[in-house]
Amino acid sequence: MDSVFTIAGTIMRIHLPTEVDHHVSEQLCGQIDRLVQRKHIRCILFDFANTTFMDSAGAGMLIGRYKTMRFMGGNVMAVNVSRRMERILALAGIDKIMDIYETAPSGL
Amino acid sequence: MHQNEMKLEFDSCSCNESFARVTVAAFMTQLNPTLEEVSDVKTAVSEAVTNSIIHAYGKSWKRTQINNGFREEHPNSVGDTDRKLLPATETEEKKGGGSLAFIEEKCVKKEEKIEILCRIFENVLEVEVRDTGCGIADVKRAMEPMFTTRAECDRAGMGFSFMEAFMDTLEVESELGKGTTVRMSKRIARENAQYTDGIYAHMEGRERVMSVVDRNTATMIGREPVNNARFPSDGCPEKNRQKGGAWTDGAHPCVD
Repeated sequence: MDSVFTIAGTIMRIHLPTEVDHHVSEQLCGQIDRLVQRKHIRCILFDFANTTFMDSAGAGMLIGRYKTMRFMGGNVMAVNVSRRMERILALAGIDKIMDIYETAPSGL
Repeated sequence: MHQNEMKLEFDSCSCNESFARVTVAAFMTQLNPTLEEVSDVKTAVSEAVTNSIIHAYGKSWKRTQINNGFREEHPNSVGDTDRKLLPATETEEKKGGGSLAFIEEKCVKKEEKIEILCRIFENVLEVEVRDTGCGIADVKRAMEPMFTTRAECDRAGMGFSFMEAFMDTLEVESELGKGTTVRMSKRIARENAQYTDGIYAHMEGRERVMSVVDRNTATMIGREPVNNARFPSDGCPEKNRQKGGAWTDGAHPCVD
């Protein structure tokens, strides 16, 4: 599970697994919240490079982390989002609340 | 294309969500679907199965002993809803000696099952997800977008919206104390599929198109794009459909 999270300073990059469903989201939520508190994370990057499936449970996890980070004055973004994933994120309204990138912005 | 049916039953446990998706996807490959159609069905099945796992049955806990004190990561931390770390009771301490700790882990009872029924007829896939859990009090309210009874668990309340977006039809039947059945269907438009009455569905580039062909002269006399066609076809009543049961013999409503 260590390779899922990459932390550089106050930026945490989460390499999401191939399928992000309710089972995976439940485990990730707890881990993300613990790491954010312990390492004082200010920015979360959800890396969708390996992700080919996500349902509304995954979307709920994203929205939950967004709310937590906003409350603490932080930021959340999604990178390496494929066309299919972009469709799911748009359906869940996530494109309205966080930046979505097809590739990772340089410097991160 | 002949009629085909399969039934799958499994424990109401989140580790089975992936298994359910893959099984339905495997069953529908005989319809020769596109990758996108498979993804759509997998997403809808995932939503229905997840709903049952989260809501149908209450949580049961199994208490097991772990030795030598507390674990490094306290499982009672934020987000960990599957297990609780508890100290030993006085009686347990006296019996065991030393410092004992117990965990209560979420477990699934034997009778807490989810059933998936898949049917294929012509190029239509129907999926039914059934549970025998607590049922839904107000189905209409439950299907409203963003409505959830579990806001504290990061539930976005979009399960039914996703199902409606990715499938052609969606029906929900529920009775309090008896269980819930979610029935969805999707028409899989095969390339150059032939219908019995001279209507051909095929792909033109990325667009799904239905052409009406005069069989005698083999000329096209009509054409229209098909965008997420709702099933059953317009003007075609579901007269032979039995709710909750199998299709009647050979009598699919759209092939009369």
